[in-house]
Amino acid sequence: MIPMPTQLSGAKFLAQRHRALLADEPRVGKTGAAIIAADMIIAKRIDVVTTASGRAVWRRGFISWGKINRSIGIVGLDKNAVNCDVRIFSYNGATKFTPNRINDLVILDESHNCKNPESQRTKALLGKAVSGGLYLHNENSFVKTSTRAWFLTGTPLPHDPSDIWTTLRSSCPERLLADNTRGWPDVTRFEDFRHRYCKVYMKKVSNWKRIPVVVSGRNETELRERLGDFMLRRTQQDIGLRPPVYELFPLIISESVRNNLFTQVAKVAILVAAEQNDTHTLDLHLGPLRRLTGAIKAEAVAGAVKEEFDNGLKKIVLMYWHKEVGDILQDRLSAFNPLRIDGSTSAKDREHYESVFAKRDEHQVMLGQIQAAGEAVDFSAANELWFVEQSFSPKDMAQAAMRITNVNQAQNTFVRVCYIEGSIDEAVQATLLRLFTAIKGVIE
Amino acid sequence: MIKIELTIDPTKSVYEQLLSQVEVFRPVTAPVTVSVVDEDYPNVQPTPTPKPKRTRKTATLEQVATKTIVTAMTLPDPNQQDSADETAEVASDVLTHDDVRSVVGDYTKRFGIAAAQKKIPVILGCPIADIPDDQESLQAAIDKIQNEMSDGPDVIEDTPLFADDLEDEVTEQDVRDALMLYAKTYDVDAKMTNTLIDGPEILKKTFGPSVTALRLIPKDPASYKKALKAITEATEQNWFKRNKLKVV
Repeated sequence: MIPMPTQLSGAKFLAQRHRALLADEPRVGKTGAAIIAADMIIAKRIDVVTTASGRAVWRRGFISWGKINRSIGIVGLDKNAVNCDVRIFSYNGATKFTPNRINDLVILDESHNCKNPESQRTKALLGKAVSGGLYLHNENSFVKTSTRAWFLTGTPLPHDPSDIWTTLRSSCPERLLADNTRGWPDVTRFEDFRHRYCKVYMKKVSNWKRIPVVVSGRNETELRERLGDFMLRRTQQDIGLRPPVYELFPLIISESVRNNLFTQVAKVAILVAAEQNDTHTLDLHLGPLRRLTGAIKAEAVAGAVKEEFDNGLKKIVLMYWHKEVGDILQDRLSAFNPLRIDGSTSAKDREHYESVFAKRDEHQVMLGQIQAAGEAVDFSAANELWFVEQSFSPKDMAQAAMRITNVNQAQNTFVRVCYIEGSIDEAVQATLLRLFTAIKGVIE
Repeated sequence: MIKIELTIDPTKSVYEQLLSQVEVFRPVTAPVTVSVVDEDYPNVQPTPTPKPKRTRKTATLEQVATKTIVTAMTLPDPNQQDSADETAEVASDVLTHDDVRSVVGDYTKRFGIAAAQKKIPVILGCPIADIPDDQESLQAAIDKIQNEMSDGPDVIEDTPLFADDLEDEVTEQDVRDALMLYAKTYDVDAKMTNTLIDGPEILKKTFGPSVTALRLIPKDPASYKKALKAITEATEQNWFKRNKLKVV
């Protein structure tokens, strides 16, 4: 993998710092940059804490980006993962884990998950703030005072400026001190920080209780100057529009479910058929499994999509094959007001949904049956499309992917093919992805 | 019938292994067939067919309608991305810090990460990220590492920093299993009378008087390992002189 110039500069930024915040916009390439930086400092023992759906992505990232051979394990999933060089944790997993070794590096991916100083998660990872933040007890946390730690997030301030206090308090408390020459007060304590950089009013919830509610920010310039070179942020515009990125997206499914699914299939025949685009043989061997596999993948995808929205994604298109898979996705993602186009959708409704998806922000998810929604619609309001299931015909895939990778698209686009990690599904999806990417190159 | 058997290492990537195993079946080029059912399709071409048999009947309307387009297309190489990357690397004469990183990666593969952590900053005189971003400096850094590799001794195995950690992790379940084995060895019935007395004693001897139950063992692999070792020893050496059950 050849890094983009922005990834290299991001990697250098991280490698030159003991603590740093890489706040590039989503999809600018933070994961690759962090792994390159880890190589630059020749880190061996690395703990990565990420979202549940991000764990497999990081494992794949270390394999594809890393130039140093390290053993990699997902804690809670892989046997002996705690003894691996690179240990990958979910936030929930890390909260329950007692850090038991000295690391060369800790990477907190989507670090805005530690924004609340009172949460158990923040205490386990960054330490416990005492006396309102005047002291920090981090001897038993993942990120100790001596730990080299990098924070990655596309949304460093998901709600208001006070969200970044935990990161600054744990990593660069000197930046929170008073600077009389500039007229900056000491904001080491959380409440001082919040009142300095946020407009807060006390909302009455009962006769005896009032809670602080942030209504807007203030002194933003001062906060930006305090952050200084601790944070680096680039936008998608900074890296320029690039050709669509096609990648595989691993889904973590429990081993027992995975084994039960795939024990009986003729793996070699399937792979040869996929390579030769022999859809008949693929149907013969995988047909009965596809519906079941799709349903299992849909559950995992729904969780991953929720996390992507938490991490700053605005809209997404999900392509599926089976009606049941569409039903599951529609149900699990109902909070995001999904729109759905399948074979039963009338031409008038198709047009209406397309228009609504483009214009209204509350509709964040578009569900499309690969064939029915693969033509004559424009979903370029989203710049990310996931294939929850694949068609065995690469042409269907290529056409469906063009719903976002078209001339109306003003952002970088990403097409992800979801697969069940460590199964025959992984190999089949990889082969089909290559085929459909090649076809797409021809027909575009 | 041809039977194909594959040997797959469960500890490595299934995908990579399967792909490499079936690599031999991959044709360099193959026709991609796209079915067309639309009668109005303007460029319908007949499928190349072998020599017609004498008994062949005239095609029906449905058969004519379901003809295929055959487009010769090169199938992508399984390592297409790698090949493209390599080509791009060769094509690009401009050195970056990524090139230095690659050489450092080679160094770690030969001498180990621990050795690289110690020696690379000494060889370069600065961390990799601090190498000036100009061609001369980057080339000099690469040359220095490559010279060190060519002058260096034979390949050294990477010594783990904490060898104990590389052993299998012991969990609470392992300790529980060991205690059950103790019960099977020295208890006559399911009430586990002897184990209920001896178990706390073993733990007290191992961890001190405050640890009298499994749930009180410190929750880390090292402590579980210690507990497992003590219970196994108690079982093997019969610490409390219990009557051993005869296994039927």
